[in-house]
Amino acid sequence: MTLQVSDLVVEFGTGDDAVRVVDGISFSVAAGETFALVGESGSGKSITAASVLGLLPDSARVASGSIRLGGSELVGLSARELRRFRGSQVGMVFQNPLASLDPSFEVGNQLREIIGLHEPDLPRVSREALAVEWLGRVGIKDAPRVLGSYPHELSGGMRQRVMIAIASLSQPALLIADEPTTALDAVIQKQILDLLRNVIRTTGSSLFIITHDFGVVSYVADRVAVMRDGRLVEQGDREQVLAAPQDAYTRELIEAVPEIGTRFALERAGLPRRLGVRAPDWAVGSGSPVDSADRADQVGGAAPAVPVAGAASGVPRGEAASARPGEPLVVVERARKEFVVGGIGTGESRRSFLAVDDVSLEIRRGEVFGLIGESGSGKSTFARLAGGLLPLTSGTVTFDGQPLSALKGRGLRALRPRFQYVFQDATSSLNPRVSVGEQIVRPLVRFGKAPSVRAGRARAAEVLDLVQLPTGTFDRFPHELSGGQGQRIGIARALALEPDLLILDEPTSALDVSTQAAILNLLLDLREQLDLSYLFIGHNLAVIEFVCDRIGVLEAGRLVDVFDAHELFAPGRSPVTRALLGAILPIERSAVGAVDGELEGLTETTEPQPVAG
Amino acid sequence: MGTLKHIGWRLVNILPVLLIVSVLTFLIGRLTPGDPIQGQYARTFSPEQIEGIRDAYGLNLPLWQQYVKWIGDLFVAGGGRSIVQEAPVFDILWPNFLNTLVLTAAGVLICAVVGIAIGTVAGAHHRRFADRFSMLFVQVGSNLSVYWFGLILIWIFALQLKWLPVSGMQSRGGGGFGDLLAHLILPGISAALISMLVLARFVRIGIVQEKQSDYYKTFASQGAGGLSLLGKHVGRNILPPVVNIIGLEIGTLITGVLFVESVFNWPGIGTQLLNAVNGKDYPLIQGGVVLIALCYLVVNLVTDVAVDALNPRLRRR
Repeated sequence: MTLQVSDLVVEFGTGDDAVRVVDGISFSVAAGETFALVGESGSGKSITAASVLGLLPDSARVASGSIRLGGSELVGLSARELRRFRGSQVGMVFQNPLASLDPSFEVGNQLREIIGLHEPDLPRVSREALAVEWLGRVGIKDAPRVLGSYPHELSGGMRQRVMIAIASLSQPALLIADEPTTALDAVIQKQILDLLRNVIRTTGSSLFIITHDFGVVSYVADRVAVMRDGRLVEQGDREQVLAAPQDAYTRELIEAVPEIGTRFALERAGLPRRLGVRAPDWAVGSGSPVDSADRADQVGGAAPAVPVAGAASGVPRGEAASARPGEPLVVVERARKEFVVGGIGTGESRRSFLAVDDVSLEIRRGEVFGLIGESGSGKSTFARLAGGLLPLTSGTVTFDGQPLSALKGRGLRALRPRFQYVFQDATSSLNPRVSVGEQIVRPLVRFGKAPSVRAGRARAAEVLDLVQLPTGTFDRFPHELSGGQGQRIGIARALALEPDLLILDEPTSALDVSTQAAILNLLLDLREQLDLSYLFIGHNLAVIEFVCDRIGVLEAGRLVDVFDAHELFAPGRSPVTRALLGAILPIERSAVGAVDGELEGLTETTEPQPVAG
Repeated sequence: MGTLKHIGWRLVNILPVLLIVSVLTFLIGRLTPGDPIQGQYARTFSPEQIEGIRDAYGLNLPLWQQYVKWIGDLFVAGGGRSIVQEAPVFDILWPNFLNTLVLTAAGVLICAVVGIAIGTVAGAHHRRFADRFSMLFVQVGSNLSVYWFGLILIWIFALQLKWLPVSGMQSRGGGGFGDLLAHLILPGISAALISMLVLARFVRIGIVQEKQSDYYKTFASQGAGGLSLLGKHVGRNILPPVVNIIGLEIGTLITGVLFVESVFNWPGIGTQLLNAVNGKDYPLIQGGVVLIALCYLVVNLVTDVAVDALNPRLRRR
């Protein structure tokens, strides 16, 4: 056993105030194995990983239990003794590659320092050579440039590659990766996971990966443990846990993950399109439809497999078809947005870049229009343009026949209640010092939707009920709410004004899988009840495909593809769309095993450089 | 090139600030009640004679003409003539201004060294005894008044222990550099006290925050030791805010020095300005304020340029 954790208990604080965040868990990671620890936020999974390295926060401590690494007990060692194990026998990759390198030193300097920690006698030249060699191994081709760069000059994916090199260069017995791809775009995520698999194959390390994403589990893990509230509810082989989960919580988590094609399977089974509802006909299928279709596509554009083929070849589309081509609600024509930095008075030369480049599209009444793109593709800027929060550089936006982009002052104000925003970070989009109820009431009174504060309160109670929050929530303050409750308030605030259109800017990206499922289900319910239209911005194709009727794909500010959800697999999709599709990590429920064999993503070729320095 | 251009821009930006400062200084002097000639000669001369003297000093001209004349004097006539001391303003102020700068420099040095030291000890031992003890010291120290603290220092170190001189800048008959240093210690510490403790707080909280940062964990996870991590990585990353705070605190320090001078009988610009205000000696007040304002602006400029130079994001374009 490389790592053996037994009855581990980690507590914050001491004495009677102590809070147990890890409550007696036991697991082991065998040599060469990939072990995944899955859980939602607050489950204690990251604390478990940190305790292996002895890197717990100041206020936390291992209260009891044992952590054995290659036969040596780590619990109870002094900081000095622990330091011998760090790096040499355990390497760690952290979640946020943007912050895990020191911003003030060049990458080469940091790599040389870390090499020096392991081999103090190595001369500088050899350290440099070793650094170059390792950057090569993690798929970085122009090592000299990267070594001479500051971290901010590299993209997130590149930085995560550097981190992997740092964590593996001493060839430790155990590599710990704490949510290594959560902060990355889907396409990069797959490359980084491939790289991790490849690196442990060459170094012979075991991989202990922390994640909340069953797609990641399915793609890399040999064995899985599911953690909830500090306890392990289930552990076992990947195939067994994914195909036949024993614990209800595991099942709930897996079913909460949106998967490509689920909506059509549900439709055929005559079930409502909601997450957590499972269509009987495909639960036992061999692999999810995306995978088979994806592979068929790669093989050479052969007809996609069953569930999707039905939709593509003209079989009645059911619900998707019921999103009748209504009259256009929002028409965006040739929208461009240019941002300018620098100029007179700043001492910098004037530069500009196009965030949105000649985008035309329409959102029809009653439909959910999904806009997807990688970070920096301009999707959030577009959301702001569509709602008149930012002035256009050129082009027009028409809302229900009125020229939004030409309106100012009173005219614009009259139109505003009819389209409302829901943002990604619900809590920070609320005023921290005003009760959430008052924040729903104020715009009502201000826009004249409620004749009095009393009437506004009544309306607020109605919408709180609509988003399934108890009436008592009215007097709560934003910091007292969980992520999911915060997002419900965000939706309630928007709905109170009885809008025609909700502009949802990554509404579930910051939420746990089960919370995301609840919010997506709520949004689907509300759309039916209130006859709403949505502009849904996201970066996760599986979510977008599940929720949206039509999908637009943005790349570098340009709209490269627009199609109906059921046409996702149709021929003629743009390369960007295909890349997004290929980057989805399906949950393999069969015993066939994850994609083995040839690994992609060992070079950084497809990776975009960061926008503006 | 970019940096030079940037500094050039900052220098140009100083001009309007100086203009506003000069107008304000000028107006504040004139708009407060009292008159320099009346105050000095009311008992000696008849009203007609006093009017004559006022004419001679140009005090009967319209305000804007007086202002323009004064601006001209700043450049060519040593800041105009002091009404009371009958000599060019800058000739009077300059030697004392240098003395003030010496004391300020000593204060800044003590502030930086002791402030960073206290902050580092506290930050590195966050929530442990050394931290709590030094924060208690900081808490108490921040509430002391400069006057009182200076007097206590004199009482302990000069009168009781007789280690250091009581006041002044030099022993009678002059005593060289060592003598100057001995005279600098007590007023330097008094002047630096408040700023030093402010700086200590910032250094402490900076270290605590950096220790929670991801890059710190990266290096710790590779077995980097506490001291090299603290010295190299944490030190480098809190340097920009530390430079910024020191820059800001120099401003506070200059003000503090003006008070400390009177406690320690330091021959600086503070005493002179006090006398000038009492005597309504407009040119002297104005000249002194402009000198101090110029110091602020130069310190600000240097701080900004230094902070930019420390930021790798601004280094290459």
